[in-house]
Amino acid sequence: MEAKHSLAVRVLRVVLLPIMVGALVLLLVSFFMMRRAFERSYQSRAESIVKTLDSAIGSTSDLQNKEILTQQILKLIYANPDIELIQINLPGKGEKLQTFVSNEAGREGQVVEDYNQQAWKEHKLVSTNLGVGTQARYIMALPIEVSGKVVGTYEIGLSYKESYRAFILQVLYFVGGTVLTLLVVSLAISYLTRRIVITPIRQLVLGAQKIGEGELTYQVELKTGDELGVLAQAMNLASQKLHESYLGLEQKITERTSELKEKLNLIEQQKNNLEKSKSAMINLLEDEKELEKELSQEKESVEIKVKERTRELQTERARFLASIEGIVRAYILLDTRGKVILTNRRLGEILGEEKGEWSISLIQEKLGGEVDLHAAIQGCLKRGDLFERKEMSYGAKFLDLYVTPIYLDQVDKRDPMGVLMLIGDITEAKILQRSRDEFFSIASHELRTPLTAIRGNAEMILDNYQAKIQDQEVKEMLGDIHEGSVRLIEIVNDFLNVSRLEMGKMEFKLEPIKMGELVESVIKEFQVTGSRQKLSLEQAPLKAGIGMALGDRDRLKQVLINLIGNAFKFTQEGGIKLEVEQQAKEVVVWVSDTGEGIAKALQGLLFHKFQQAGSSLYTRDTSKGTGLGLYISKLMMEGMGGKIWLEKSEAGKGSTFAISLPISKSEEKGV
Amino acid sequence: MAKILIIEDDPLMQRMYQKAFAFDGYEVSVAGDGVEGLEKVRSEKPTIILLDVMMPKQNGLDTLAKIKADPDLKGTPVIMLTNLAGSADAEKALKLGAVKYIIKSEQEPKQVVAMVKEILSGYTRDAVPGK
Repeated sequence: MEAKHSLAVRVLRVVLLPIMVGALVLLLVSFFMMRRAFERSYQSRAESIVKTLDSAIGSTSDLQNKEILTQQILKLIYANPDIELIQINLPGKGEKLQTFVSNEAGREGQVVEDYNQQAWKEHKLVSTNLGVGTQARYIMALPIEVSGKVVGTYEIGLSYKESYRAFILQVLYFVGGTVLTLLVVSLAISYLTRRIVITPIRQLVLGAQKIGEGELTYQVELKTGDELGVLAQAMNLASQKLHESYLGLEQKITERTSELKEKLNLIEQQKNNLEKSKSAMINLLEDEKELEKELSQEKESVEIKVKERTRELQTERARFLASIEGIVRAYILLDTRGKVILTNRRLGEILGEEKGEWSISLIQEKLGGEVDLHAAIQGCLKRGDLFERKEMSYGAKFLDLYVTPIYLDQVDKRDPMGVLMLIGDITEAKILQRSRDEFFSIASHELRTPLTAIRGNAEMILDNYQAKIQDQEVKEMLGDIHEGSVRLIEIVNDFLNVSRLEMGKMEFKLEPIKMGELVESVIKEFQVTGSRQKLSLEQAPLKAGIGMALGDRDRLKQVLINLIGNAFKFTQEGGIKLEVEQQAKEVVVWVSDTGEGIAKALQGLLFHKFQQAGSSLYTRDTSKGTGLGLYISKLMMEGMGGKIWLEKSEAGKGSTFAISLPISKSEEKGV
Repeated sequence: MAKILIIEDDPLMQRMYQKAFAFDGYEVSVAGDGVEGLEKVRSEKPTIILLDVMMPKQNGLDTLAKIKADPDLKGTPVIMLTNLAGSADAEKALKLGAVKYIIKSEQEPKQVVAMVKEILSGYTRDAVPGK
């Protein structure tokens, strides 16, 4: 930075200019004053000359005498060599002032200059300077007064010639002196100003510039005791402070710069990502346009299909709603969150309350503590199986409940789309069942007594009155009566057992049983009763180490008797073999016969009520029992915790039935 | 000869068992209900009692209890007869002190007689009361 206007110059200008001007003014004033002094001196000389002349003239008549006047003038000129002009002017022709007498020849009669006119008219002294340089002269015009009247002018002209030089010299000396003084003073002022003010200021300026340029460590060296020194100190302090904060700032800046760099990198990355996605998007957009065209075509065809389907669906829905109203049970359709979607009117009828909208909570409230509907629903959804309550009491009614998950795909049952709940009013059915069961119990019991009488009496006659009955036919008839009653008792027993088993009223006394022994005792009983002796009945040799089975002894006997009895019924030749085995944690008894066997198609009918594995209802062998035997055996085996099944059967070859019971937990091993 | 007392309300059954035991040479008396039965036990002191479960006035189980409560009578063996299903009564009877529990329809009369013989022979060793 350079100052546009130098301070030094300005200061000097300010300081020196007045001085200069003052000096100049002084010069001029002195010059004029000197000149005036000169003039005064000349004037006084001229006046004295005029006085001399005036006194020399004497009277007014002398004034008219040119010779006297000329004489006097010559005398004066002789006495004063510097008189250049001496003249007496009087009014001449026309009363105009003219030169009367002059030292300069040829001037007589000439009209005089203005200053003379002036002096004559105004009655006062008028002086002037004429000419220049060495030709310069002082001219003075003085009015001539005679007895108080102005009659003309004296005119004196003194040459400055001599004194001019002296005057010039004097002036020169004066000017010179003044100039010199001025110079010296200026120089002094210059120097002092420079030293006291300018240089320190320059230093401050330099310092400020340096600081301004960034050299914050620059210290201004100024140790004057005055305000500039203070300023220097302040500047130094300020610059120091600035330097420190600058350092601090620098550090912050570096930190921030690195942060920013990182952020910039991130932004770069993101920018790149954006670029990539942008180009991807552009590609997508192009694809989209093509797709849109296809889509609008598709849309049209789809809309048509949708209309069709909607119509179809509406018909389906109407059909569906009609059909659920026709169901005898209460129909409740739930979504996977357990919220009721649809119910039929029967629900309200069964629960005895009409409601516009049912919820599981409401139904639960009505059913009370009999069943936990929420848990049932959750269980169904989780396990995907059926939940049933075959009997619940509801006031005077009996209800049954089925809860099942429903799937969109009946084959691949993965995620259920909802839950179906059915509640049925089984009061009538139950009453019917109960009366049927009671009927069986009561009937069985009531039937048994007379039957026992028939059987017992028939037998006693046959036993004890052999002698009295000689007629063979009578014997036969008695025998038939006995056999009829026995069969009837068996049938009644079967019905009774079935009803008890189905009602769950049969108790099973479980105990550890040695199966081998039990089988032996049963076989013995058959042999004792002497039935069907032409067929063999035996047990296979027992293996060692077969455990004790856990079962009800009497019932187990019944089952074995049933199986063996069946075997006898359907076997014409050969025999029946029993075998006891242990398989894993079970004891198994095989009952094999060499009889008719059972066709595969009919094997499914076994173990069901009233079924004989015959092809038609009328193709029954009524002598072979009611067909309840296997059903009862099945219920009894299962009631004991065991199993019964047909192991194998081939028409014409024979059948093998099997029963199994779990091993008794006691460690005893039996055979 | 041993005396049999049959306490049974159904006349068919009464007559049947009476004949059965008579054929075998036993002395038989009958009672038609629990009250009459108890009286006859006290008055006749039979060797063995056949007691039906289901009877009017006083059923077999209550009668059994009364017999066993009487110090004079409690030594007499009692066989329960029934056509009822269910073993709850059987167990109760056996707990109360009956010797055996027979389902009438399951046994031929001669089998019942055989059973009685067996029981009597067993008891004879230990001294049969009433004879």
